[in-house]
Amino acid sequence: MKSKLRVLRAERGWSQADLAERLAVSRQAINAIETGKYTPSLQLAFKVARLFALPIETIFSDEDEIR
Amino acid sequence: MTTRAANPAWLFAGLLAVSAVIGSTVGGLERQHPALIPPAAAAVGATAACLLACAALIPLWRRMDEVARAAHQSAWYWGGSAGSAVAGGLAVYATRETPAHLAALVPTMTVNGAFAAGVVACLLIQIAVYGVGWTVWWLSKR
Repeated sequence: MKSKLRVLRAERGWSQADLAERLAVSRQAINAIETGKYTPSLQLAFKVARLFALPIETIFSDEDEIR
Repeated sequence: MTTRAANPAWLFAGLLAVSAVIGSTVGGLERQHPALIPPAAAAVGATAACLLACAALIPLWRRMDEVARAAHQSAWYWGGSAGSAVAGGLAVYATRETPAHLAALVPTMTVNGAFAAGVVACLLIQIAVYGVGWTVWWLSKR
């Protein structure tokens, strides 16, 4: 799973810890999602989308779609 | 801001401390008065204590984020599977080996001690592989 989380976070000047606090998850969780090593649940994906006020598909996309 | 009481690490440490106090107290009583608690009551008590500890950890589990839960689930799978595999192997070995050879493996142990050691060995393997599985899972997500 690819995501634009790192870019969106950087645009707002947030650290991984800042974003983790806003989403009520650990910093390690943010890192795992940003590096594409963990696919977030729909619940967490919706939470991320609400936080950035963007549609889910703008933030997350699967590998096949990108290729 | 997370208070000490609401922090999962403190909850876990507190539970460990309470378990240690109860365990050492009951163990001390048992040593002084070996027949104080009947075996069946001790077994039921120990099982109940484990179940209570599991119930006490529910808040910790609920507070955990989904990534941390996934790590524990993966570790649980590998730890549980490894423990079951070893227990299965030991059970097959114990049913096929001659009593004399089995007794020679644990010369200084009573039957009770050998049986308990087998069970504890399975638990320790579960815990050890759980720890390895948990660590590997997190390292793979870095």
